[in-house]
Amino acid sequence: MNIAVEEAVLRAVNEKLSPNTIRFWRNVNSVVVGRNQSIKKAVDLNVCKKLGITIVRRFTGGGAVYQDHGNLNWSIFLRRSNSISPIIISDVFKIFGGAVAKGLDFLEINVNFQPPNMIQFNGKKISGLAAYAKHDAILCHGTLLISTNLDTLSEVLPLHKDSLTKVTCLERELKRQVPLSLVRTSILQGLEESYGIKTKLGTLSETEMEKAKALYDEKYSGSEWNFKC
Amino acid sequence: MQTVILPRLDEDQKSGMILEWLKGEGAEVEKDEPIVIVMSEKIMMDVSAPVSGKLYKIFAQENMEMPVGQVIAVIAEPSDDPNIVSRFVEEAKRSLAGIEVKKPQKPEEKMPISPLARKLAEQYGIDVAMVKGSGPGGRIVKEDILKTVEELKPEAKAQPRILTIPLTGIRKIIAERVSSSHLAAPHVTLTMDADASEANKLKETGISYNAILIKAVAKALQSYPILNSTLEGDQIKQFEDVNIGLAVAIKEGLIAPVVHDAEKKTLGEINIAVEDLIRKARENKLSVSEVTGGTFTISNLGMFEVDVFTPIITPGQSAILGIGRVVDKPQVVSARIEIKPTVTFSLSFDHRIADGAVAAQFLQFVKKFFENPQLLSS
Repeated sequence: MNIAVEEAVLRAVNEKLSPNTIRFWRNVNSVVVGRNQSIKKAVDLNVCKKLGITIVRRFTGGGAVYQDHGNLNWSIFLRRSNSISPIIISDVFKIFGGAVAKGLDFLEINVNFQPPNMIQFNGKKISGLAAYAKHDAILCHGTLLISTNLDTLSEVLPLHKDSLTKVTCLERELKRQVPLSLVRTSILQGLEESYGIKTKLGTLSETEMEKAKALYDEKYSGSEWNFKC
Repeated sequence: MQTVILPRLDEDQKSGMILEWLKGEGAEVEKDEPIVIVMSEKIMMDVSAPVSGKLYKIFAQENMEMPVGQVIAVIAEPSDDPNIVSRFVEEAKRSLAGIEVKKPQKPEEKMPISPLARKLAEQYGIDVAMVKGSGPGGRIVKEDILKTVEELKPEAKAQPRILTIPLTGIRKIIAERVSSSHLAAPHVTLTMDADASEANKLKETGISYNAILIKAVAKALQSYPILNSTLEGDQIKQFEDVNIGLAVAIKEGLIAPVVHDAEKKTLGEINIAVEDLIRKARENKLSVSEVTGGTFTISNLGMFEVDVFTPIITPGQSAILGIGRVVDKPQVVSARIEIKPTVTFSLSFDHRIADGAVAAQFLQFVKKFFENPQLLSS
């Protein structure tokens, strides 16, 4: 349902039914594959079956990610007429990847945005970014591995089998707990300090929920979309 | 009639993929309605219809990879002459015949190839799909490419040797912007000489030609605001602000920092602003707001001994003023020949927005203000 909400909010912002939005969300154990990615090649289906891991396809591009409650997803939906919105669309990565990195600085977590679209800590990936541009709205969303089970990650994603030297999570590197609520606040602070973005707390609107439910029923709950390739 | 172009999503993007047509050929589409989803390596985008009409022709099928800036479809508007539309489509088809269009390889199916070998293949124009890899697991390595180059040599000798320079960064952006402007807007260029005697005197006091020209143009635009506008679909949108961009050559290419609200600034203020912007441009320190929001552009090639040229209008604007060098030329004054410092203005304007007479009158105003800079203080 989370991916359906992502698409629903993007549509609503695009249709001027919703304001610019920042959303934080988490998934239960699941693999989220890129729009055009072959599940067969990217995911070990037997391991998923054995561990009860759901597979869902997102509408943005990029590679497969394993998500559990130790991963915090962040999404920024912005009108393209907004002054922060870049002329060259790929600059969203630099803008928001940089702002998220700056936010983590407030927690004395010294990460850096690595072009084109990842955030690294100690030279290893902790966040990957993807984007989708509509006529009047742009979405930039990313993962943030805080305490994800990296062993499961490497088991589920064959391409990551020997890549634990390249991917990590904050708690493993810092050897301490990193509270999610603090991460959320610091990301918002990073956005405010970088671009003067002020936020107020909100929940999904009725319109967004309706759109999300429809998308979930028609697209994201079925195998036609999720297993299309 | 409007063309739909494959947009650039990434700065260094050379090509993009047509992912899904949301509307089929022949469908009626509304302006701003999404008609196709395209993608670069990292980003996806809905491309919207630039005008309302009929999706007359689709040139690029789903899963095709095409060069950025390529026409991928044509939308015919109800008022279009069918003969003109079909002629245009035929011409576009012919021009597409020379374009390399390929089915993309999925990332997972990418040819195993070392980075050095890939670079060499690009340099020599070798299609890696034709090369058999000799490395582990069939990986293509440097030696494989060099071997292929050797094999191809007899044919290569007949051809001129080529050094391939990738079109990247700012050069690529300029290429895309000038092409789209030149294709979309019918350009007409008018030229007119102006006496630079008074401007020369002012220059001696530290006021640059560029500052005088920006102020002269800003004042002239107040009388001819149609040249301070943009064409969006079937609407001409006149800018209420007068923001003059000044094209400046920098190491990487060309950039046009903008003097905002030029009509409200004094000549002295403009002079300081121009100096500051040019310095920042050369030091690569311009902020986004200093290079955006332009409503008219001035391009000065005088320092390169150019007299007349045909500048291309900045996309989203309706005219551009080219400035040549100031050079002594004979002029007839009261039946006598006098030598006067003279500059030639080259005004390109979008003929869809304005007619020649209006543009000429605007140019006369610029000339009048430039020749009589004392008028610029009012």
